[in-house]
Amino acid sequence: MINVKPETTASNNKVLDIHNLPDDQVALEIKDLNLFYGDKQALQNISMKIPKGQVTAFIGPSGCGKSTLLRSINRMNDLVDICKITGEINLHGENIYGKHVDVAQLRRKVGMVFQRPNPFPKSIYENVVYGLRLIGIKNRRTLDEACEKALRAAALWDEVKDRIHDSALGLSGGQQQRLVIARAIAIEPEVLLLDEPTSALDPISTLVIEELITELKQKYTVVIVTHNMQQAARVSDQTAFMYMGDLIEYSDTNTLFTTPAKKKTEDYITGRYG
Amino acid sequence: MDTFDTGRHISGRFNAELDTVRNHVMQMGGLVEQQLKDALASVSENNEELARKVLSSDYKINKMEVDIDEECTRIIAKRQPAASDLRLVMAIIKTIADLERIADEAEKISKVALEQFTAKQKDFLLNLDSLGRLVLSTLQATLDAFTRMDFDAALKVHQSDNRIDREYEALMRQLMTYMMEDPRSIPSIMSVIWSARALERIGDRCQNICEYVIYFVKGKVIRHISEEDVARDFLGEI
Amino acid sequence: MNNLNKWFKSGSPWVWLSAGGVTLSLISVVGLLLLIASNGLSYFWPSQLHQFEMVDVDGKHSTVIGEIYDVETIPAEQVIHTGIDVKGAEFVERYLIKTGNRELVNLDFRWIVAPLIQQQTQPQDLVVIERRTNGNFYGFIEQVFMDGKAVELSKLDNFMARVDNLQDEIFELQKTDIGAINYELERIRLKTRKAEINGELTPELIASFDAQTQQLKDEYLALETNLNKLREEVQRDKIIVRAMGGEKIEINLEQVIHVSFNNKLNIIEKTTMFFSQIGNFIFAEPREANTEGGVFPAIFGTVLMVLLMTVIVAPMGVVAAIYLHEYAGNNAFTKLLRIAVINLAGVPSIVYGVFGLGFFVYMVGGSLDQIFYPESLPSPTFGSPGVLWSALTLAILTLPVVIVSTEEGLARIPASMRHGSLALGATKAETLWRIILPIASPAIMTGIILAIARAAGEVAPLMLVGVVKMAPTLPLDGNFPFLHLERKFMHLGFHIYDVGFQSPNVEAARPLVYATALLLVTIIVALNMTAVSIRNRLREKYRSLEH
Repeated sequence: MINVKPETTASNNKVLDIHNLPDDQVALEIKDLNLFYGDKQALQNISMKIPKGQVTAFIGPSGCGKSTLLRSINRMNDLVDICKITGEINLHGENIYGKHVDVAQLRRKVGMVFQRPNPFPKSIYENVVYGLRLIGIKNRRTLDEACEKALRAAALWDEVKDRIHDSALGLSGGQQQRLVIARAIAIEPEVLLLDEPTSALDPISTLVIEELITELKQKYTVVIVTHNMQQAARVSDQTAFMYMGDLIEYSDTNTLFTTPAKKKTEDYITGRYG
Repeated sequence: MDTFDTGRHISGRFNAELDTVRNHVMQMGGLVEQQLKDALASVSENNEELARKVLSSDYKINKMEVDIDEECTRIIAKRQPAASDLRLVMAIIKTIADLERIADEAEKISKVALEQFTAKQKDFLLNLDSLGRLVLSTLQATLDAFTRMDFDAALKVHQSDNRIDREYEALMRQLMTYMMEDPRSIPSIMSVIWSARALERIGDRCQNICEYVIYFVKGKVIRHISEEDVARDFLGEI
Repeated sequence: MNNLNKWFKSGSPWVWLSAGGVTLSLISVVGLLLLIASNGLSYFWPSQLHQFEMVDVDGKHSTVIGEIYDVETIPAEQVIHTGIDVKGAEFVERYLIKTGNRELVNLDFRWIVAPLIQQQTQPQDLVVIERRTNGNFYGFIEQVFMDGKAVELSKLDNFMARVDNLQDEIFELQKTDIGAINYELERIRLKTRKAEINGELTPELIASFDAQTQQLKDEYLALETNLNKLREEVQRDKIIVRAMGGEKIEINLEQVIHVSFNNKLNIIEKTTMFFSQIGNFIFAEPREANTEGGVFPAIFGTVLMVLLMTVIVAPMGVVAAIYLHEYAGNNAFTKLLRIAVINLAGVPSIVYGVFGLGFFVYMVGGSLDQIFYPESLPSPTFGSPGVLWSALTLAILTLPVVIVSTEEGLARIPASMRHGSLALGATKAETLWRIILPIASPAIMTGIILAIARAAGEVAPLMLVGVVKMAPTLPLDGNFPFLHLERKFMHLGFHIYDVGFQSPNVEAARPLVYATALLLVTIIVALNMTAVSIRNRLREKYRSLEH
């Protein structure tokens, strides 16, 4: 048997076989997930395993359900009244759609960063410690330390350390987005969801964020939705291509961007008519 | 996916750019084929004029290689091709390098035609003729496979390289015998050996080009893999 | 034709039209303010005093002394039939003179016709005396007496200062000390009554109450002696004045507030007097059925009632808006609710007055009295109109404004703010409290500003639920619990109505109406400006969000 499997073809030597991940490497397991907005089905039988400590990207055309899938991981879809979900998403083997799940607590474990930077109209410091204040931490020193740690982790500390008590709205778009990331990692989540985090940013800020994402995967499992295929190719380890609510192809990024297995994927990433 | 079309890109200009660069490669292929044909003819007919024509045409091929190289660089920079587009561009970049080398080999062969041959030497050169025809047909088949991006044809050519090798070895043994029989003929036989060697190299380069075609179509690398494995891996699914 | 078309297309007609509209509104606002200001402020300017020598048609001589209040030009025919010789003129002038001296003539004012005037002078020693009763006196000071002995006129200033001090002392004694004792006595009476109702009235308790009463009464007696002494003191001096008819009148200085030789005053003295008069107007109590003196209780009542209303309406409106926008589903019921809220803003204010009287005063207030204040029945505590009920009624009146603008503010907040907070593990309530409300605060302030603007100008409903012509005490004083929400209060708007249309002397009250109106406008503007500046500071804080 000749060996043309990714293990040898790609230069990356720690590629996982994501369809047969051992349990201890799975951060999230999505099982037969169906999602309906009213009568319209937005996600169809999605099953996938998202590996721990890696960057997983969801790509696909607009309306393919990639953001919906992302939002169902921290139950942000709960905010939509007409949204109905069947199937499971397991975090530590526990279904997050189970009966006794505390949604607020889930969201502390699964942080999220949105398309447009959305810092609160408070100081930089208050933005970062917001999540900590929510869980009742009042000790000034604990908060100070956590703030510095989060800002350093988000590669923002050096730029703002002299003005952390100034309004966060005075920061540039890229800095705001990093602040939002700092805010999300200040409460030490396990999974970080990024919903098109650079779509509102200029190319240089985008590169800074991409660099940051690569740093973040040392500590967190990162799931990113992006319109920018090159970005998915650059930052992710695994890529899932979705189309019209279906998960078409899910494999390691190197394979998906050079030799996709499905014609739909091929057409999408080469920019052909579907 | 086995059918080949650069078209259907949403960007029409991208389509056009890919088509243009492919056409240029085909033109270059045609030119190289002509060079090889002329070189072989000049040797077999001992046609000095034709040989000089081959030598003086090589610059065109070099220039084309540089041009196509630049076109590919531009496409990568501007279009960031992915998947099959990326493989196509990569295949083209590599193919033109091999085509350029084939043209160089043809040049070497035509240089032989410029030498003064003895009658005996001409007999040796006749031996070269059949190898030359085989290599030329291989080159033609390769270019044909490239033009149509035909996986089957490419695989067939890839495997037919064995025949060239066998022919080459037979020729070598023959020449070896001549040299042993008549050591004085060694210098003139050496130039024939160089030509045979050049033809053998051309065969290898054709094989490379076929590998690129296969890489483009299937996305799989069959370089440095034994023939049996390739056969098992691909023929099974054909 | 082509040019005209072009001009229309260029849009300049619309610019002109809208600019015209703005100009018109500006002119009317500025005009209104100027009218009120000029009429109101002239009331405080010390005017010249005139002496007219008159000969009437029968050849009888008379003297008229006073201020010129108004000048009219009337057709000569109107006066010819009375026999006045108009010397062939088509029009004659007539003057409205404020002659004061109410004890001599019934009317403060009198018209004189120009042709009858023989001579018009402005004698330097003419004086206007502002008095506590009977209005102004115009005339000449004949003599000044100290303790029955005649002294020279120049002593008058010293005497006046002394009287002012004594009057202040008396006022202080009456209002503060004696007022506190009376309040205590009333409380002891109510305590006794309460104990009686509850059947807890033991002899010891009676004894202790009696002892307290006795002590207070002793204190009162001491104060009264003091007071009487002061009263005697203040009556020491008097002046004899001569009125325009030559009558000599004795006026005790106790009665006199201010003596002014207007014709002697230079411009600086007049300006000083102008401002001190304004000060008096703002800080003094009203006299003479509100037609004279100051309006302080009305200012105080207005501001207190509006502040109280704000304190009530702001939380109610915000809570209602939050429920409507954040928690209530978007169904037919909430739509109905919204329509109801918007329509509530269109209900005439007097209807709210009727509602306030029926619901708050009689039902709620009556029940409160039954439960908490049975001892003072049958005289009501909360069961009669008062400042609390006024504030509540106006709060309901202005509630829709606060609800609507708060809801708009909530709707303007980008969803990303909510999502950002929720994604950090905040509950909906935490998000509301920590993120949404601070961002919506400028909109809430806008609602409050509109509510204040509406409430401060509202009079009609207040007449039913708490405003009175004359309140004996302010709703805020030094007696526990300091803020007396059950008390009736005075209001500038009602004051205008009362002075302008209910007073015995409408003519005299006219400048006062303008002055009060100016004050009301100023107070409303001041309240609004405060709220606007608070809102602008908040807006600045959250500015970059609104893009």
